[in-house]
Amino acid sequence: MTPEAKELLRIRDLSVIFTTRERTVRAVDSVSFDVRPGEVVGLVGESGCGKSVTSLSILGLHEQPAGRMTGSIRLGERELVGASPSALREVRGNRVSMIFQDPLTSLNPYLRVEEQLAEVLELHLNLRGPAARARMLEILSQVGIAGEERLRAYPHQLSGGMRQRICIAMALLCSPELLIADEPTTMLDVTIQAQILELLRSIRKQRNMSILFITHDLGVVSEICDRVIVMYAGRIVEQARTAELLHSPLHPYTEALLRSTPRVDLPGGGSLHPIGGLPPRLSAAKLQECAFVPRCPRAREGCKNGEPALTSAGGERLRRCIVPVAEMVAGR
Amino acid sequence: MSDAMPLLKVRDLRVHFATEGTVVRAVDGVDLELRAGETLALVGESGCGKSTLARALVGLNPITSGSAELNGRTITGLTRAAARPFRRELQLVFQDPYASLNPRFTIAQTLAEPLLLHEKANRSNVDSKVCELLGQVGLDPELRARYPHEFSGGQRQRISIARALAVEPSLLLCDEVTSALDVSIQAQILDLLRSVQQKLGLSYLFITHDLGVVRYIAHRVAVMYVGQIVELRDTESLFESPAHPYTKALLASIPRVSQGPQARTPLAGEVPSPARPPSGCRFHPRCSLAFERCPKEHPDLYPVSGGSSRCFLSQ
Amino acid sequence: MTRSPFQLAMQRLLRNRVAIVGGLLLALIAFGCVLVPVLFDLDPNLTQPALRNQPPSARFLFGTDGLGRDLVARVLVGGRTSLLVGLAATAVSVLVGVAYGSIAGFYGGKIDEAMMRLVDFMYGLPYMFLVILIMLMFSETARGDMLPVFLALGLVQWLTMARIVRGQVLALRRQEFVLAAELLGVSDARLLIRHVLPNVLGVIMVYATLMVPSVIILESFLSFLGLGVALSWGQLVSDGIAVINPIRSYWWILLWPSSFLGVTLISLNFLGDGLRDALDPKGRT
Repeated sequence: MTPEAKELLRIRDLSVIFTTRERTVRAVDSVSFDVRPGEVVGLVGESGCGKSVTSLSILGLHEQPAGRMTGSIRLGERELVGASPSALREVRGNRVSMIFQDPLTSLNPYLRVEEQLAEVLELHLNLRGPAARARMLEILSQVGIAGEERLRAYPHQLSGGMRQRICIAMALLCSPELLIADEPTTMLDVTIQAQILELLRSIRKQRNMSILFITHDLGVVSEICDRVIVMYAGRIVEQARTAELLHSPLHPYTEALLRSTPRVDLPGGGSLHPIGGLPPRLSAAKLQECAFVPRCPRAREGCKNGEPALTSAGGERLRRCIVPVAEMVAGR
Repeated sequence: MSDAMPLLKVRDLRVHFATEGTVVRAVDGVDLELRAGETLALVGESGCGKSTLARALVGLNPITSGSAELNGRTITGLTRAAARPFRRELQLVFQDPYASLNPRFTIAQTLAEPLLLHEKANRSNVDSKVCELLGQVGLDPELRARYPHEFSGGQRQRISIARALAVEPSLLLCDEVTSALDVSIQAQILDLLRSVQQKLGLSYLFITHDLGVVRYIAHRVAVMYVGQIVELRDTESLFESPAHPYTKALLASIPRVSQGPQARTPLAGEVPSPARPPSGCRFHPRCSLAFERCPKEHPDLYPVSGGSSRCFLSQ
Repeated sequence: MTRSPFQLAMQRLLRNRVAIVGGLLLALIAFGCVLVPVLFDLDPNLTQPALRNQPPSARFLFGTDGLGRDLVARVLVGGRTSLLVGLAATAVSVLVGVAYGSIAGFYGGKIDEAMMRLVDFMYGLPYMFLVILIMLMFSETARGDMLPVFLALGLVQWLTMARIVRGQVLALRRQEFVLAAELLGVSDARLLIRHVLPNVLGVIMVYATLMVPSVIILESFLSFLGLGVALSWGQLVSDGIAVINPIRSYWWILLWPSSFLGVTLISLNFLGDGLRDALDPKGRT
């Protein structure tokens, strides 16, 4: 972590525990990372890895009954864990915005576009009437939507790509410092996804806005993220700059994930190596061994002696694995 | 793979839906052939008609015009009763692993039903046949007394595949069967499909939006756009040298792991609705190579090396 | 240990304290109404004019009415009627409604349209008017019996059940597991009976449970109009109200039947709600 760039978002030892009648689940286990101003950080993993829960924790948006959060999430000077609902409401949509996977359910089907935008403008910026309208048109053109008619439209009248643009517009209205994007392009067609990624890239450049980008798609990560954090079973298993991670992964899970992704740029799709077994069932108990051991092609004796710690691998790289780096890169 | 008669022959198939005054031309003139033991991928974005086409082939959607033949016998335009014998030969596996199994049936019941119905087993040996099927798809036969909710998405897809295989079909339509699964599980299912194909000589009509999967599993690819096939090629030919501008744009839009951010302009515009297809060549409004002929005339499929392409530039 | 969806639902139901309380109360009341009069040899029709309008005492726990009849006997035996009418009428409406609604929902299209038009039409008819008409078709003496009442009630209630079942079946018919079975060549009858209906059963059970209190109230209402069964809670409440006056109030004649009625209705509602939550804990379906 370079000392000059002060972090915008600082997460330390975040744990989220959900308790239901049947069982207790530690969905996120001691996660720590930073997001610096103007940086795009990718949070990558498969279902159940905890990436979505982590992102929802920042704004305290968990489903009720709420998960119990411990640890610290600092936005600049402000602590968000344990913050009052009114404090959180002040941050949401204002300093930190969020866009979700399904643009259809993110928009109120009964409200026209202008009404949804107006709500945000009134709440956070105290703008109404013509001033609000001007701002709406401005923001819509920034997300590539031209024309007043779009303002009067209802969500179901718009395509998926359009809806996501509107959601992005809503998120940008108050010029947030951080945008959390939870799988924003997963439900979009490939060509539309390319448009949205391009849009996010240009917005980030214009406004020097940070983005926390949650996805399972390593290709998307490669397109837009500066830094990547890989999660498995609720914990961080690897962290590195994007190019480093994708070309030279230092955790067997990252490596296996890359090898099990069919490659559109290699003949025959490349050779596919599925990861055997199933993702782990999360429980509340502390792990006695590395979470990936049952499925790890590089597992060895030492892996069962308790969970490995997150260690530095040079520069900003972190990895949670005891397999020596030299062994991981050998033969690549 | 060069059998005299193709397993599946589709001729000028059209599926149109009439809703609220407009006609949605979901599938608008599709020709294709599939040989035994071959995997043909149907790729495209929303509204291209790939799922509608698959469902029409199995009779879940009514066909407006055109025909399809399986082993030389017509399978379109049949009554429910007349279609029954073909149920054996042509099966469909669905996308959503959480909706494709009856939650009140045990796995054994789900798999026994087709076995008994099509006389692949009788009461006395059906249980061992069920175990055999489960083994074929890589699941522990001990699990057959369990209910769907006790299985993961990937496991449920295996069960759906087992159910389809129970009737010993010659053609399996896979409708986005891995799209709802995690990447690592998707790889398991793709491997399974490949090995089953090798063992049983099955053909697959594989519907997906993921071109990486296509490159891995398909022998040939049909790219669909607004109800029509715009390019039909051998897989490697398509990826090495795409002929149709839409295919080129599609391939260019895919985020790739190997390179960093692409300095390219994404394809502009929206995917047109099949209710209002553009005039002439349907891709012309978004095509960077369009010229005067494109909005006026509708191109046919012109031969190119390894297949054909629906573009005047290939004529 | 493998558990079927039904077993899981029952587990959830058993954890719902409110529903359990409702269930126990119902069981208690049912037990009381059916067995106690037999065990204690109670006669609801024994008139003892000398003992009329007595408040509750050691001998007559609930007091006596205007003809000196033991109210304990009357409330319990009357309860048999109310519960039986509730159950029977609901059973009739379930049978007719499920059959009708599942055919309409399964085939859809023109068949569904035609069938539901009929339902819509019948819905539009004034309900009480219909019931009264049906009742009047029976002779004076037959009118006090149960059969005409629960026929009348059941035959109008089936409309709601038909609509509900039709909606569920229509939706389930397009679910992928049903389509998959259809593609395997499963016959229509088997599709409906083995695949669709078992998955609608839960909803049917919930609505049936919530229909019983409705029917019981309707029967009570008929009693106010003098068209109900001779001895039921509704009738007793009607009798009780008749003797309420500002000068001398025989409150016990009204209190006991209305309390039993109220507790039964609430318990049925708790049970119905509990069933609904147990069968569909995430509010889906």
